[in-house]
Amino acid sequence: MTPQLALFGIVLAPLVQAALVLLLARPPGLRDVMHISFSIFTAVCAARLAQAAGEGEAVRIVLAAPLPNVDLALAVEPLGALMAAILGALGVLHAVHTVGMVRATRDHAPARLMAFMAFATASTMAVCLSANLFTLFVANQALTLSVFPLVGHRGDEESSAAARTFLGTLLAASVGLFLPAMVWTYALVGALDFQAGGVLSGRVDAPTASLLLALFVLGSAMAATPPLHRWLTASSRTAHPALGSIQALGVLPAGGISVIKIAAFVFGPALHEARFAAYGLIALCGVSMCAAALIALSKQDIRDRLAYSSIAQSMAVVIGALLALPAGLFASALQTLAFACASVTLVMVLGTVVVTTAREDAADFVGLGRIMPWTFAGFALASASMIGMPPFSGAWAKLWLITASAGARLWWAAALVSVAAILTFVHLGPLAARALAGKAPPDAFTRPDGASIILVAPIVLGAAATLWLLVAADSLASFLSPVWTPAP
Amino acid sequence: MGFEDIPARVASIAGVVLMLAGVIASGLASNPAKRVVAHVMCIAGGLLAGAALGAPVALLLSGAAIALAYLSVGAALTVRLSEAYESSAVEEIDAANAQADAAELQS
Amino acid sequence: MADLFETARLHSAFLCLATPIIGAAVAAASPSARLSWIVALVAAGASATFGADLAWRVLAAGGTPSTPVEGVQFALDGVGAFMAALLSACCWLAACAGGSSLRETHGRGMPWGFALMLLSLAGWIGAMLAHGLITMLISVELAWISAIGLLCLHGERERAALSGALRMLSAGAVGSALCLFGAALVFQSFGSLSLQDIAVAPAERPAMSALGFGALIVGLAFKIGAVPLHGWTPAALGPANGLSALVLGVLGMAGALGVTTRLASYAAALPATGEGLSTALAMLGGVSIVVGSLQAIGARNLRRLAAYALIAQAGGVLICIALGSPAGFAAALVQIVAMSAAGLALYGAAASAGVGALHALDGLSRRAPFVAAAMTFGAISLIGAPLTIGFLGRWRLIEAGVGAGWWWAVGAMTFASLAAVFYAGRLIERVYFRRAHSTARETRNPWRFAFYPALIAAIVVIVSGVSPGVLLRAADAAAASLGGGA
Repeated sequence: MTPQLALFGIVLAPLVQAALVLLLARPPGLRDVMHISFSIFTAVCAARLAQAAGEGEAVRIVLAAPLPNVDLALAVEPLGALMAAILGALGVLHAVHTVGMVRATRDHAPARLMAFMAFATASTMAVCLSANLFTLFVANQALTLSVFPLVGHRGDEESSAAARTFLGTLLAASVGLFLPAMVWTYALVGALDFQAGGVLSGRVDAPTASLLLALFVLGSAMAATPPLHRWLTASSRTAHPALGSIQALGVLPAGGISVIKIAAFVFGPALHEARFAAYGLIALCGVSMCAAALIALSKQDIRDRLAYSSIAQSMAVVIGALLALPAGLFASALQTLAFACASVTLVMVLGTVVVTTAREDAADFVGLGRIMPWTFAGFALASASMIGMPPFSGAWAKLWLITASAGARLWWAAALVSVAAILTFVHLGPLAARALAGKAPPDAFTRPDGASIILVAPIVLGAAATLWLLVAADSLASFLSPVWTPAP
Repeated sequence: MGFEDIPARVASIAGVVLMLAGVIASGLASNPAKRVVAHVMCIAGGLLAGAALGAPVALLLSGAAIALAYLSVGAALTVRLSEAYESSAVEEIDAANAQADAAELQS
Repeated sequence: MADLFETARLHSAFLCLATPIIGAAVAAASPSARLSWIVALVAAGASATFGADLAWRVLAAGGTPSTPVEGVQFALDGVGAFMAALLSACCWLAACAGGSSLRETHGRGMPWGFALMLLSLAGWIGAMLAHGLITMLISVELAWISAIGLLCLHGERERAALSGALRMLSAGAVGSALCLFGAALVFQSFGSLSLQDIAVAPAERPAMSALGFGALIVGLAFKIGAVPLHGWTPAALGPANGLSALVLGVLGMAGALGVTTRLASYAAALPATGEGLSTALAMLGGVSIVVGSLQAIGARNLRRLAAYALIAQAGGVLICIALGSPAGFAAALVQIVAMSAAGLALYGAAASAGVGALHALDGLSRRAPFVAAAMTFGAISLIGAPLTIGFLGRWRLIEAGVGAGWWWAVGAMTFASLAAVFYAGRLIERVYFRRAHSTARETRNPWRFAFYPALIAAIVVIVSGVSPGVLLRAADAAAASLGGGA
């Protein structure tokens, strides 16, 4: 497969997948085969693109030319290709788990759920591989519209309200903040293409750079930067498979990737000019990170706890991207990947626990690890990675983040990240420990045969991915190095 | 400004005043018939001002035709409104419409 | 045959205007409602064909084709030709969708309805091709009074339409008075009412010419429905039926905006006139965007919501015109196309689904998926979502605004998009994510012809957004010959 074909395939395959899943909704077996096989194809395309990026191939396709001098285009560069490859691979695990979930829960509209998850995948891949700000903007909008039905999937009043909050927040931020920043950038430099070293580098004064940075970062509300984080907590009550597309593989990572791409390819060294806004945003994110981790501690419902924990993790991504250092960008990229691995594993665990035991309260998790050892081993590994506990992948990300903060002489930022890691330990660590070490509850299973293999195997593989990232950290750093050391 | 210009200026100012009076009367009119008369007054004011400014006859004739058209359509509309609402008061017509809107929202 | 074809092309400006007038006479005399509908379709289609040919020759061939004088003298310019083609195409689509009214009314009064629709089209086309201000003003009044008549016809079934017609009459009369006064001032300043003379002759009294053009533009603003002169819009469009909503909301607003654009294209280049005019237009545009958007958020009736949303769009067009540059006029034309497409999609879908109150939209996607899709594309275009023509229109405005240093215009358009997220998002949510109430479920199935225009408009929204080359070139060519190329 040529890289060009893979680049088309990575966006088109999920769209075809969505169409086929809807068309072949019955029999369910055929629908499920389509869902999984096209997810695998998407992952293969992403892997091929990562290979092309590693070999330094320049691949770019133009999908449309809707504006003069501005194309709707996708391009392969190491950062986007790596993100696409990891998210694509995790997407396969999530697809398998989704099949198990819709069967176990007898979902009322499984084909619709799978189709919109596929749309979300296509949009997320487009975010990763966007060649310019316009494409990033379009992909973010498409992702918002794709996930909107997932948030409202249950169809009751509560989920409709959550869907309204989701759509309103993300579209309003995108149109009200991101779009003006994009137009302003276009007015300043006459182009919107991403460029290693930053298109704004040397072309903006400090006040303009600061204002633009604030507009871009807050406009990328998918990263859940407060005060634009309500969509994440509101959407935490949706169906479990949809939750994976929102928190782990779709919206939240897309927000992080958007911020990293903007920091690396739009600002680059111009981040120094935007120091005023960058420091302000880092302080906002640092404090929010601690606050979110603290609020998570107060939440007994496991979905709410995970939602707030995810906000804390996403803030780490934003902080790293704004440090204006290669180490910060790498920390940010690694944190995105580590968080995706850990988060998808946790979401799958929650789903499996709900369908087999109908338990969603943190207090009810005690001892479940005794009767669901594989599931809760995955839960423990993913939690450890989220906390940043050595030797799991999240530890590397946090370590790089603290080092980069110190390198930028922002000791207070390093301190905030450390405090947040401790608070994350407090809200996730004991939960995992009690689940594994507590006394097994009698008659825990609502299903006589417990969890099926397709509900457990993806969890184990997801947890294994967090370990693999730890091993691969050095390789990833050299793979990503062209992002912050552009070719002369 | 020559003295010979004074009548033209007075006429143009009178035209503008008539036009404004028509606008105000149209807003304050309590029934459709009065409103239609106010419309014609307004257009007549425009024509008077135009004539004072030396507008060509074709424009004035066109304006007169337009005023006549508004008068005809307005008269027909006034009759239809009083038949449909069984009232000639603008307030009552507006109240009936508001009531219908509220009913539509509740249905 | 080839000679006949060439002769028809030579007289395309005249035929573009004459076919709807002849069609109106035949439709009014038609013995059956269905026959009058077919006549209206044929006449509007023929007018659209001649309009497209005229636009092609003026815009693509890069010059003004010579037109023989046929009792009516035309002045062909880029803006006029572009708008004549657009309006006749919109009217043809409105005629298609207006078929739904045949069932609503059981054919009563429909021959007159279609005749008035065609007369309204003829009026707007006449104003686009008019050689002088007198013809332009008479044409505008013909279009306006025909639209009032059309709304009055619907008054037989819905008496609130009569009340809306009275409001239209008031707005029209005041607007006419201002236009007549403005024309007199222009004549006093230039000694002529011919547009081409105005474009080349120096103004003897610049202040008077500025006042004259100001009065003309404010007079037209009544017909556009620009805030604060928009009182008639919700009153007329709220109770309107399918056909009258399309004629008033799409043909009427686009026509009035087209005339304003054309007139401003002659006035913008005049010293001492352009600046004052620009300020007035910019103020009207800015206020229209803000107030229209806010009122759309509060609307509970689909046609009123669409009316307010289109007022906000019209505000964008006025700001583009206010820029006074070729880029601004090109952006204005793109915005008018975007507004017309969104209006056709929304009003067309509303007509075919027979929906008035917003809550009647609940569950529409299950009852009528194609209608729901058309409405959705219209709504997302109003938001200015990327890859729709609405985004293209706003981008062009923002680009032109940034070029002129009008950052407030960028802010106003951003506000319009933000507000549209709420009102259009609410519309989409009702269509797809609400269950139909029992009354809504009883709503009849959409009449099959009625939703094609909405669907075509929705396709235009997307196709022009993804591949806007032809539209942009046409708009640029039209704007390049401002003031008839003077």
